[in-house]
Amino acid sequence: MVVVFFVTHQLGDPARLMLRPEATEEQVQALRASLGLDAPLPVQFGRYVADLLRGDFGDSIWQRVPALPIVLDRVPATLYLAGFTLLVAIPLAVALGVVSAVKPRSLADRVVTVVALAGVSTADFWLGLMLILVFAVQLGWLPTSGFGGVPFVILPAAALAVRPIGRVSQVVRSAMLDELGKGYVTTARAKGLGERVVVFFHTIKNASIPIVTMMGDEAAALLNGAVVIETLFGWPGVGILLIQAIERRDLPLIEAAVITIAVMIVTVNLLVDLAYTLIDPRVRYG
Amino acid sequence: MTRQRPQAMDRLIEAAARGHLSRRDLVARGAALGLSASAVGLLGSRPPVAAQAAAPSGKIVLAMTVEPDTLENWRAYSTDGHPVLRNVQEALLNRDPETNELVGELATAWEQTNETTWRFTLRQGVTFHNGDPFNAEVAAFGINYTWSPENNFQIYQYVGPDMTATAVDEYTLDVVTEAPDPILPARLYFSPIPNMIQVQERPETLPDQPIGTGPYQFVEWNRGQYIRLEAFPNWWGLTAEDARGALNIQDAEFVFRAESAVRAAMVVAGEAALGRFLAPEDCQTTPNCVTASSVETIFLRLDTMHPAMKDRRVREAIGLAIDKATVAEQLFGGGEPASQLVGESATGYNPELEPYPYDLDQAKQLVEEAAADGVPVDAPVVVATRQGIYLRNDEFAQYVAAQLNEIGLDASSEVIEIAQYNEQYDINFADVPPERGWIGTNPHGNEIMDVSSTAQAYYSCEGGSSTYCNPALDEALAAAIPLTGEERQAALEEVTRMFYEDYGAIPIIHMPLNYGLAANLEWQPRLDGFMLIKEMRLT
Repeated sequence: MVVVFFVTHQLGDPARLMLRPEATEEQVQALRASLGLDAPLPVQFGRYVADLLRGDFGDSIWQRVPALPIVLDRVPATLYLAGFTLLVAIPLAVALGVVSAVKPRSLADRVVTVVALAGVSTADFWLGLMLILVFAVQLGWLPTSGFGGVPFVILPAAALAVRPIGRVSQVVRSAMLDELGKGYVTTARAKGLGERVVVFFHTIKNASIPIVTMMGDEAAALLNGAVVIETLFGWPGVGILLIQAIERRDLPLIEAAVITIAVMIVTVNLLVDLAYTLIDPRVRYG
Repeated sequence: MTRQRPQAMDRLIEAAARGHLSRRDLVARGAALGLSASAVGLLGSRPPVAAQAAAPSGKIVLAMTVEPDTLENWRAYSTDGHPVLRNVQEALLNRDPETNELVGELATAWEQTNETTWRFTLRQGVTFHNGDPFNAEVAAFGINYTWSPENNFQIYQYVGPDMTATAVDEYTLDVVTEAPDPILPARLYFSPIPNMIQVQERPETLPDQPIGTGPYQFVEWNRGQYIRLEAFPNWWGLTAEDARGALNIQDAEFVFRAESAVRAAMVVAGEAALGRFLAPEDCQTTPNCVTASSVETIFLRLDTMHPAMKDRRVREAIGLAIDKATVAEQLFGGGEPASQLVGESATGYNPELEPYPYDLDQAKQLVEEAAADGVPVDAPVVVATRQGIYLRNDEFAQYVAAQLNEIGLDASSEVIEIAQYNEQYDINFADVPPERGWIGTNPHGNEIMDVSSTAQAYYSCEGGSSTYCNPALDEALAAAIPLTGEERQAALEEVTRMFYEDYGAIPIIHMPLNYGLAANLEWQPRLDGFMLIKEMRLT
């Protein structure tokens, strides 16, 4: 919160930006006064904290309406895209990681590793364009861009999912390999349990801590704004809004967007922490 | 512009009505009778649109580059504002899409009654979308509001002498300027008339609920997604003979996609009927790629107070170092090398000037000569460009920097985010730190089509975006501004020549604009870039 305030106030003078270049110093000062930017920085900070506690970020300089509702309007689109992306990415990543770990150094393992590396290395901008050209323009199966129901989210989510699939699958592989080498797995196999039961009911749960941590990271990254993909697909998310606000030095909007994103990320981290207690009963808070 | 109709004109009308004359002949003979080309256009070569027969139908989706910041009427001068606003709100004047002449829109006639007064006869029977009547009081209020120095909207920088509008009677309007302003009608073409009651009583609705008199009324703006308009059933143009368009299309939706490839893909996939400002290679993928001339010129704005660029030889060397034809062909997919910051459409365009040639050897020699005379040619210069201001501006900036290094200057290129760039760009000569050494790579659009507005902004010592100062040029400009007709043309040509010969800036190309159209869309782009749906037809 403190960082957001002081960093945004170092971006420049929004009053000068809003007025035409020939504006007189008096006009600039008058606008600064009306925006409360003429007060000393500590005073502005005090007002900022007081307003923040009431959920009041002030009016957007750009859109001239309260800043927070502008951001909150965009949150569902961001959650929708991030959620759909994770819905696609996580099961796939877990499946690929498990396949890779169960038969290390096999052809399947090598293919998965190559896919994962390619996913992490691919520029999402390029991938998004390719997806549009193939699935929207050539095949005509999906819309090129825009915001709407499931058909609209598939391409941007696919473009975004590639990186989490790559990263999470490698973490799953590594965690599963660790667990599969442990004594309780040998015991389970010695008891005659089938390999599927050993993997899906015994091992994967114990391998879940690093996997869930990585999922949390990926979710945070998506909530933080998939700016490139949002721009490419005309997706009205928080990320693109934040960039537009920065371009216009719209301090109230920047602050509202950053704090909203921070709240979403903190919530994800909280959920991740709570998930630890479900995965491993030895983890206790408080 | 009220005029007598002599017998010769009657004969001309008859010939036009019979189709005996080509449009070119018609314009030439009309001009001999003192008619503007637009007035001739009404005679018969293009049948007037009257009493529209068919009801509007269908929906058009237009894929635009940038979402407007606001839909306030004064914003209609901007490239992101006018596509929406000029369909919703109308100005006193417009331009004929074919001849580019000023023609009546909310005014039906206009004349200069003395040096500082223009009188407009307004169209009767016009109503705003909310039912409010349009009359001289509303027009006067709208002009005074839009061009007010107190309101200080960004459009104000394009004003010449300050203006005051007053209603003479219900449909007669006088606009008085502080000093003679022969191009006042062109300025008034630049800004539509807002709804007076809305401005007075509901100003908070101005940014996102525009009300106008135009052929399309505002329906909805879902920020980040679309702006929707629909045909206005009580538009005056439905029964007027000089509407210059028709309500063929019922609904219009503007969507915003930053990437040229995506806008083109939307057209190819049938999701949009029009993709604006496409890269040449993207445009070619669409069913109907139309490349049109524009009033935009890409140029290099030089910080002429910089220790190196203060020297005329260094500025000339920069002009010689850029291969404009190759830039046009390789980077921008077309366009004419430019010799000045305006195109032929502008009053004051000097046809005798040639683009600076490409001569790297001479450029190197000039830099060496300057260095030998003690000019610090190694003082760093920055080829600065604003993020995303036009297609491939970053590549162009890199090319310019490489060329300048080639001739012996110390140049780098930098892409700067919008706000920071604008803050640095829109400052006057006197406020630029000499050591900054910027070479701005902006485009300049002269929609007013008169060199005076370009010169006031970029050539003058006082110009809001000027990094050049030559008192002799300022004197010539001041003398030219009140002139009219051929005298004005000659005086502004001279101003253009002075700037050219002093290498005040380096014109690069007149930028072509590419539009990708669906196969079923009939539309011709206009020189001023306006996208009027009333001029479009879906087949």
